[in-house]
Amino acid sequence: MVEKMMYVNIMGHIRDLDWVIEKYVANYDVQLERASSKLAEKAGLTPLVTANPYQEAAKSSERILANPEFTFKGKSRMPGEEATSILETLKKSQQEYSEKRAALMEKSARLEEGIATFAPFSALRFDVADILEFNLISLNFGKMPLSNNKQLEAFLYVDPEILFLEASRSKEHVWGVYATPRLLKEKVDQIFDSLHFEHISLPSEFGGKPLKGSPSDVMQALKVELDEVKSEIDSLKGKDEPRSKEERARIAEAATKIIDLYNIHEAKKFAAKTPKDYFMFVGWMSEKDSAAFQKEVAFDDKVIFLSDTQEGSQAPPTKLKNPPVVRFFEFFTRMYGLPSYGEIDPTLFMAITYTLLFGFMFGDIGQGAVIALLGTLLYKAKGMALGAVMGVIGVSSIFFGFLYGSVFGREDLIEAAWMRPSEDIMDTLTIAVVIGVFLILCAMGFNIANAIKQKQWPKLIFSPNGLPGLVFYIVVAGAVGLVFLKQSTLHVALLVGVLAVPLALVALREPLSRLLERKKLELEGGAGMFVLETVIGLFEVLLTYFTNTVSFVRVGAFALSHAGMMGVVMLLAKTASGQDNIVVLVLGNVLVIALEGLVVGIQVLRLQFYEMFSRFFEGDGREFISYRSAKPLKR
Amino acid sequence: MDYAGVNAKIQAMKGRLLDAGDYGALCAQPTVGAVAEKLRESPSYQSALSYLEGDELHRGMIEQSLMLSLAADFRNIYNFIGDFKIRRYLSALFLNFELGIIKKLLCMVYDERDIGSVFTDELSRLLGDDLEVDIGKLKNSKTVPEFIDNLKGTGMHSMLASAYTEQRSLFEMETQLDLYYYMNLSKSQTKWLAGGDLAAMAEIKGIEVDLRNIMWVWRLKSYYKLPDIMIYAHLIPLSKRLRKEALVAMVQAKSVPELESLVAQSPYAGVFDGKESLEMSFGREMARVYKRALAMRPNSLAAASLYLFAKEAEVSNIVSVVEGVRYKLAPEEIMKFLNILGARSA
Repeated sequence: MVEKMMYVNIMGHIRDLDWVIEKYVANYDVQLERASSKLAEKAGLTPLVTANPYQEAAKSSERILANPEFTFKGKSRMPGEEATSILETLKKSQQEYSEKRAALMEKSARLEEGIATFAPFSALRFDVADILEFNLISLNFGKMPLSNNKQLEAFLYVDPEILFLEASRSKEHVWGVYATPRLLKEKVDQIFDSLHFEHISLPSEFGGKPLKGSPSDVMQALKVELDEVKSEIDSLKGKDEPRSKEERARIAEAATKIIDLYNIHEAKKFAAKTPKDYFMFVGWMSEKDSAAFQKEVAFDDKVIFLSDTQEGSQAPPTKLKNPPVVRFFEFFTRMYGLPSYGEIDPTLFMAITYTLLFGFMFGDIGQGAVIALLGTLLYKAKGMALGAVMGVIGVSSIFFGFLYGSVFGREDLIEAAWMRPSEDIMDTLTIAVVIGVFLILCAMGFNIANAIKQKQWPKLIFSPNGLPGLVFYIVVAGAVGLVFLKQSTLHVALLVGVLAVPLALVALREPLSRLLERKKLELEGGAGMFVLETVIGLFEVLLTYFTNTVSFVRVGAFALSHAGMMGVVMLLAKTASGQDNIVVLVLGNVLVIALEGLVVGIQVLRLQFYEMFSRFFEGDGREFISYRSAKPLKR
Repeated sequence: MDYAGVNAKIQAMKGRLLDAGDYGALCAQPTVGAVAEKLRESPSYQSALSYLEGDELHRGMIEQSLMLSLAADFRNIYNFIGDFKIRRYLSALFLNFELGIIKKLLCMVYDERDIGSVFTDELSRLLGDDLEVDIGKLKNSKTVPEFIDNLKGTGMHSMLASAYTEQRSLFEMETQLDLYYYMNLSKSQTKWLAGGDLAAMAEIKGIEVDLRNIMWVWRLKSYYKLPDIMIYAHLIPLSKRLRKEALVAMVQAKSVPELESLVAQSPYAGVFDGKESLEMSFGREMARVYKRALAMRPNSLAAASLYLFAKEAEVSNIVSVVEGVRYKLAPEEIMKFLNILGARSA
């Protein structure tokens, strides 16, 4: 069933806007619409443009709640200011934490760099700071390529003016210090420069503290400091997150509140503003909700609430409302399409026919019970709608199982309450076709009802699924039925006369409906083409009636095949000694349930969609989504 | 290892080297195109020069083709030697050739010329195989630091990278490459060679270093007028017969005559007679050293290294001939620039 919708206006003074949203909009199922520009212009309305003040806070709240350690269920009753201040405190402490950590990381990097600078010189056993201050001798720390160092060793070692002290070497470089009297500095520097000596300046202080002692002493001191910094970094770990459970719960509550506030503010984007500082929301509510709303605001003079069946610029959204069990079948209806507001919701019809057809095609007490059980379990455990559907059709299968006298394929355990399909093949198939004829007539009936409801007269008068179709189909089906029952008292000429009128209407439906709508008659491609198209079109319509009816034979065929398939399983399970092999029996049953259950389920769905829905159901509806359930940010 | 097979092969390759008569004929050609045409008659250059067309005969292209023929000969010898240790040494020996190409490219980069056009497919393949660097990147180097950076992965990279600053001249960088070559060669000599191979190559390459050092002291002092203290960086810190003190004394010589007398007192008296260019004297002496080493140790790498030395000299001779013909020098004049070793008969 499609619930009746009311077009609603909620108005009030702009200073009460927040309050109105929080108190009413957020608590009722109302689908907000943006006031159409035409309407807005007429009424002097302007869109209410406000920036959402909780933009930032909501984003971080979302992040917080994404962490499973922070959960809050229920409605947050925390005042907005408190929530804001809790989150701000958290943010501040996190910021402080990350700043502190970054500073420590930077310091540790500088220390490591310092250690790396001194490391190659650690073999030198003198105080660097002292010797750098020598007046007469200049000392130069640095490194040079290995081969250039060889040149130095080969040719310049004998030179008394040059003293190179090697500290360490790698595969490619030699580190060391050269000393020279200051008087000769220029010349010696030149030599070392020609040998590609790279100067390295050793820092004399770190972080304001002077570095004393030999390079290895300095390194030691720096390492001690580095260890301290590292342990400080380690001790920071986890400090950025609130420890106690209560604290986390409070933060989660605050975040929840902020998201609620954010959503309230997002609702304002739908509000329009009148020149006199009044706001207005327009939207849709179900009749029931609207009445409740009306009642609640009746004594609230700050809010004006208007509701009307008059449809706005847009067609009303569709909200399905079905009784509990039938509701599970909405899932199939949605698969095809949501009924538009004025259309009949086929869910109830579908639920009944689906259940009965399934049982008819797959009637077995034992296997039906398995399906019902499995479906119920699935529904309970995962909340799957399909599970609930399986539960229902399983019960139907059990019911038909009694009618057919079939338990796990065994037809010898109980008597059939009605008949055994495998023994009355012709009857079964005939019953199936009769069911089909009935269902097709129902579908046409729905189509006619829809056409009347939606005032679509051409659909009613000319459609193959409208009145002429109904008349034609009843007459033909009746005639065939009479022939079948051997009571052929038919007057053929009368029959043809009766059938000619609806067929002519269907055949000429396009030009006739144009006439009805007072449009100009146009024949595309000339009269010849029109005749050709009409004849072919009519032929197709007739063929469709026939094939759709015959299509229902499958309903009987499946009822037959069940006994056949289980017969094969029994045959395979029979051992030489005449006993049944339990394993084969169980596996066979599992296979048949899975295979037949799946195929029958799909075949019934196919019948629903193709043979019935296509006759009357368009499914172009727009889903009703209340603002409350479609919040921009979910928590 | 037994060199009988390798030496027989080298004997055959030697037969294709040019002799004085061939050079005479080349010098007498009227145009560069005719020189190339004549060269194609020689079996060793047939394939190397085959793809050169008349218009392409500028110096660089001929030079590159000739160098590729040298590389092909090296590859021939290398493939013929099964011992992996000796192969490792040969790679170090032949590095000189790759470094020669690197020097030429570096020179172009210093001059801010585009080196991409120099790379033919053959050259890319050659350098790519031997240096294990990304040639695609290397040939797009626009600046010296970029060029050096793109040599990452090679042994020479760290040396060039730590030596390079903006003040460094091309000359200094080339010296670093030489230094790298000789230090690397000396290391792999002791690591991979033994017995007759070690003795022969230590003799040949040791004398080469000695002579090179003397030659550079001479050059830097008399032509470049470099201050004494700056000369050391251009010398190879290795020695065979020339004591290091003697070399240092040469560096510190007050004048060219004093240097001459110091050289005359060294084991290499008479090598540099001053009548011809230093390179000519150097080449002549080295040819003698190679031949002597071969005579003393026929069953060693001496033959192979002599062949490569001779081939290298031949390539540089042909480049001189091409230059001479281009500038229309008389054949006798051109012949004077050639270093004809007569290796074919050795």
